[in-house]
Amino acid sequence: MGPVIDAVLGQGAGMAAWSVRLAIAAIFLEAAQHALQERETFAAAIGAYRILPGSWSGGASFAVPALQLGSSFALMVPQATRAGAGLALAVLLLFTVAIAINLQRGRRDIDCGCGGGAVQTISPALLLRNLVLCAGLVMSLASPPRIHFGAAATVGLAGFGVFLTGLYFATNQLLSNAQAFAAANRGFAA
Amino acid sequence: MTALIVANGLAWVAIAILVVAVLALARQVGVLHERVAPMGALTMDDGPEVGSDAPVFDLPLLGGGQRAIGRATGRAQLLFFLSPTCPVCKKLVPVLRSLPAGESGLDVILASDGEQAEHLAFYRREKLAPFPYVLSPSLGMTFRISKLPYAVLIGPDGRIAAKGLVNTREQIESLLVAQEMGVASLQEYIGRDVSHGGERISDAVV
Repeated sequence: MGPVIDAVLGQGAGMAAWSVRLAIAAIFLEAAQHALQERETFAAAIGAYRILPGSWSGGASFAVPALQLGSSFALMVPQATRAGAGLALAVLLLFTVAIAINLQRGRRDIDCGCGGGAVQTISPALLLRNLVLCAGLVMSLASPPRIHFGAAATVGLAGFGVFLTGLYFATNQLLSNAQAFAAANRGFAA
Repeated sequence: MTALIVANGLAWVAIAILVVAVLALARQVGVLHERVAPMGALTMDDGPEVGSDAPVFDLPLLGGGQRAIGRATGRAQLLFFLSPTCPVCKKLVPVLRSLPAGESGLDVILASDGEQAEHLAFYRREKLAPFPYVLSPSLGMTFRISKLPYAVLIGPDGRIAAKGLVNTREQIESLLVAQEMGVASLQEYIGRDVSHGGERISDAVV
């Protein structure tokens, strides 16, 4: 019985990793689209982090969405999925470190520039969100890139992927709402 | 087995609908936050008081030239404190453009501090040439600006007519209304005795 359960769990983890990849690919696609659509705002957000030399912001505002697009597509191609996950992890870790450094500097009022459907400033919650995404990518790196499952399982796993994507955007919106709520309360207390 | 597959498929449809509903609700709460934000500009109990003489400055302009701030010149001055990294400030620039400046005797002056190169790039990118733009840490410190975007309205007589943190068009306009009505801020007038023309006041603000 033991080996059977192990096999099911192993395959289950591989299948769940496929859903996670789908969700992260969608999240990165949206982030890249958002950054390119409002490229100047995104460049200003990168500049506001004060990590890169100021003159690099413009170039970085092209490079980051390009890397995001590349990793998004690579994630969904079995041959390239590991490379895609590695690239996505690198981009995500760069931003996470930049956020951590600025939180450490005490600068909480800068725009995160992270898309996700809602404007929000950097916060510890954002760090946590990024670390959860990183964990998803690590799981994706650790699982087999190519797994076979039937049509019914595909529907279920795609559904799970869409659910995770929706959950991510809802979380972002709620984080943004929480900041607006806190700001409104501060305003009245002042 | 078929039943299981159908049930599973239906469950996913239900979950997808629910997650969209949660997202929509969260978005609506976000929009409500924007709409219900305090209508009047909030003042912080800091810096020179409303009604007192504005501190006088003579500052170089970003586009070249000098600008006197705070003198009684017979024209009202709206000091708008902003920064290139503040998204709300950028959002309000079109509102500033639409204010009845010029002929109505109101000058809009943008104020900030920091590196000149960064501000010059911002000034060009956002096409801020129609506005006088001053860079002065001491101006912000004198008015005790701690949050952006912040606006200070100086009357034609050189006195501070109204001031506050402004996040929306309504809040900027409320400063101008506050000046016309002779109240310092929304808080002051909520705190006032209602019998002092409360009706007129609420009409003006809402």
